[in-house]
Amino acid sequence: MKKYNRGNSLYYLFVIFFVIYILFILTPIVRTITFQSFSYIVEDTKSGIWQSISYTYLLALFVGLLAIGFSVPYVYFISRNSNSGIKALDALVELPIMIPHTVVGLMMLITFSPTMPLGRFILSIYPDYQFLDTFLAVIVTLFFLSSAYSIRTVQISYSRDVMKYENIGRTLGLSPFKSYFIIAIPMMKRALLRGLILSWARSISEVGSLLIVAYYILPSFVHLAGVFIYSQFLGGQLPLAVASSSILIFTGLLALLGVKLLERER
Amino acid sequence: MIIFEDFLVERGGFIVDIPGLVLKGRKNFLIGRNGSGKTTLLQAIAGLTEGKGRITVNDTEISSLPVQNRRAAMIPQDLLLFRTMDVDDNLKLSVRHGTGDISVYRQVVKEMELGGILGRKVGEISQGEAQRVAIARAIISRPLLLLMDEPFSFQDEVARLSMISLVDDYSKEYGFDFIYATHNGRDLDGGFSTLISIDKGKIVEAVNSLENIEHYRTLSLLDYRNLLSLEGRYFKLTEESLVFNDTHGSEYEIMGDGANRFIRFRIAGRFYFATFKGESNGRFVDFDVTKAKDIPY
Repeated sequence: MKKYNRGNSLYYLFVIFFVIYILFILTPIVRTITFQSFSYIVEDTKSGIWQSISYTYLLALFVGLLAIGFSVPYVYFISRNSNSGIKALDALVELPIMIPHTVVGLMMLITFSPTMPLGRFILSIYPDYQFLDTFLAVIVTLFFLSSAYSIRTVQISYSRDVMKYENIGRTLGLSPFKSYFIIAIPMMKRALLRGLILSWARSISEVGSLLIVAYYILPSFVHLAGVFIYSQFLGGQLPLAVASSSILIFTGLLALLGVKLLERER
Repeated sequence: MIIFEDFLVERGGFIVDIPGLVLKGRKNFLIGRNGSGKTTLLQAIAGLTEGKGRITVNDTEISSLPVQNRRAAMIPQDLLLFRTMDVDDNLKLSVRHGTGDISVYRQVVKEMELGGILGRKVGEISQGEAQRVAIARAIISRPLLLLMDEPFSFQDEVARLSMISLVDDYSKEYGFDFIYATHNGRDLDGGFSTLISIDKGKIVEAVNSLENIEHYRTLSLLDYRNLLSLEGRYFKLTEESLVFNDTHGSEYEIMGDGANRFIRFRIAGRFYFATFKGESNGRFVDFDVTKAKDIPY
């Protein structure tokens, strides 16, 4: 239905805010993409940024899937629990978002490094255990930072809407297991996809904590995209860093566009 | 027959307390204002909200059973048809995965003329069709008890009474009891076994005929006429209790005609209505409370 706003002066006043915000977001993006010539950007693809982006996107996807995998049971439990102590613990989910990311890197290091108590314990079980500059360090750190986005997205969908449908299924004689997997999960498809995208996007954007726990990933010495661009900048190569940023932004936009199209098709 | 013994539900500080109640017939109505506890009670019977005490349905004690084993199907106000499925999948869900019966499915689909919409998504059917699907889905699951939380409240009276009659017929055929929550007195026009009036989580009264209703709270849900609340007392007015004069009382206005003729008057900022067939002879109306019936709140 077409929205009707004739005579609604507030609507026309607030158009200004919409325009300012969209320009605020778009201006740096356009500036970055147009900072270098197209041929310079193409040339930069040989700098190693492709490999960084591939690693970054795949690792972020893995972390996003992991976050969704945790969100589903976590949200079920928390939505069906009324214990105030459990509810208070649920508030911890947002905590990683507010901690400075370099601090998160330090936290991960002093928790999981093989020289630290928990790390030593893991080392006693797995003698080959390493943490610094490993895939494990990247995954654990990014999961810590990005899981809140998928958990909260799935939680809103489940507790506000889907849970009541699932309950009706149970009154029709379906077991909790069947009611959840046959009724609730298909209803949450969109929320699961949105949660995956948010966690994935948040993981791609991470730099601060990775500088501490995985400046590069052994044994290939590949930098993840944010770190790669940061190291280009530190090396005094601003034009190269901007060209790499353009590639990252452009591929990210393409990926988001693809997901939106997929969502629309459904 | 449904028996409640020391049944207590507590949710977010709100308590529904039913120390004892026996519903002997199939056809039960639960009436109360918004927020009186109807939904909480129905959800507790279904097992969706924790309740203490015992509920027995036709000799089966269901209160200790998990939701899926209670066989207490629920139709909520918003129907909650599963929107990711088509109508047929909604109807067959309990047959495939729950307590449903395929022969009941075939019979109900035929009798309720749902054959033409089986392949449609639930978002593509009309509100009336959705209500029939919700009834059919619940009946196919072969419940012992059907709980309905004002599922037809947005329908016109013809459609609503028709749906209630439909449920009543299937209740006879398949031998289940039902409890239908409403705040519309017209829903009772097709008769009932027990009418339970609930307010603030407590049973006001449970009666088996309209004539047996005593409480102001119940009567005021069923009819707006002939009731008066005055200085903490409650009255059922008769025409004889209206006293017309020119010196004191309330100003009034005669409204309606024929059997629906009544006077409207105002006391303490609130309008009241009393059926009135005679002729008024004064500017004001007052009350002879000795000729009105003093009723409990």
